[in-house]
Amino acid sequence: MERDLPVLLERILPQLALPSDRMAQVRRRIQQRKRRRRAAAAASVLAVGCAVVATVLSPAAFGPEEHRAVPAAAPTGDPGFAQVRLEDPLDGVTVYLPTTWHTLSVRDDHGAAAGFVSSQTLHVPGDGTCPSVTDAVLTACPPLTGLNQKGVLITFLSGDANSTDDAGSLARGVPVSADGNCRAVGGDRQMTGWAHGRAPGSAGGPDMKIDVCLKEPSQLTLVTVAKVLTLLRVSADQG
Amino acid sequence: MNGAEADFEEFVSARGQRLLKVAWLLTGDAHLAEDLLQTVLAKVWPKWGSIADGNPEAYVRKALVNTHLSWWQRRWRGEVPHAHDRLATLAGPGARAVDDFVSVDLEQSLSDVVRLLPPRQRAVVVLRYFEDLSVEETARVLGCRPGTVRSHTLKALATLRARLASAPGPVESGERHAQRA
Repeated sequence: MERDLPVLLERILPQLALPSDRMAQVRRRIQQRKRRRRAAAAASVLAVGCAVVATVLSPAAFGPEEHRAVPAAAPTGDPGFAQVRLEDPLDGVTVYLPTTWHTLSVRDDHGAAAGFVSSQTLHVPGDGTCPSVTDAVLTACPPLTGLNQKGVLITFLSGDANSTDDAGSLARGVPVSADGNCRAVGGDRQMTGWAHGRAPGSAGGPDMKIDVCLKEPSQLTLVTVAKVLTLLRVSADQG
Repeated sequence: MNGAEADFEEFVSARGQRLLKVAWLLTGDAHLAEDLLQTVLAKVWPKWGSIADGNPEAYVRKALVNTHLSWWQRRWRGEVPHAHDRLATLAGPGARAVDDFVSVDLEQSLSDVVRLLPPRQRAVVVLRYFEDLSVEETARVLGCRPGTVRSHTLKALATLRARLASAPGPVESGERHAQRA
């Protein structure tokens, strides 16, 4: 059947109409998008009261770039939080972080990518590429030398979803003893969950694994982590 | 109209129907497919200057897949096969007559089963077998690891085989009436 599938897929296609005004409709949509973006930009300036905008991380063309979160309009109105968008191919993921936190994205040669956010400065040694972006990415290319007390390192990794947990339930979770991957960066507690967008547990939902690695977390640390995970968003602007 | 606009319009004219087929295989609905295609073309236009010299069709195809997956995430669109689309399919060349006891052939079974696949498995099937992408190319489009693509492929093929094996064979509706009697 696998051999015949290409032909069968062609044959099940119906006669699909070619709208004579397709380009006109596309041009209308382009104008609508421009108007919506102008309106959104104007609204954020009014809300904050000064000229601050959300930053979008630039593509890591020559290696991963470490970024500080920049103050911007956050959904909670908390001036201590900022909006950051992870890099392609995780660029559909928007996180709201404390303004003192840092982000970093890495890829391996196969195009797999991991996004990191942390309370500490991040870096990847060598030429900036990661030898292998898998579940053990913290062992293969640790983005920091060691977590400080109350330190936080969150890893976003695309992969198969094998749990019905979502980022929301992860935010309510209780940290457990760290595995080898988390211990590799000096962590002693961890939480793991999956982001399923807005349809937790639904088949075929977005596959985003989230690993939270902690060291001697205080209650304030856990509250902050819970807030970051609760505010996590997956946008429609992927691809 | 400037050069970039003319170039973009020419691309849409030349490749639009092929991309619409990809969109239909992803969504299973002709109206949704056109909606998805136009949405993606509008998103791609601002970046046309940087992608036109490369492989714009690959870029648009990747955007089709990922936009469709994000629509599914937001549950803006239902995944129920529309009856009118099924009828439109059956009304094509070589189709059987439709009545309450629709005769099923392999192509119709496959069409139904493909629509029942979870969105990411469906995307993998479309990319690998309709667009003829390799495992690695498919992984890059979906932003996942090659192992994940292979896993989705195995699951999708297993579902297709199981469903198609259990589907009734090509039976004329008249015969089925007689058996029920």
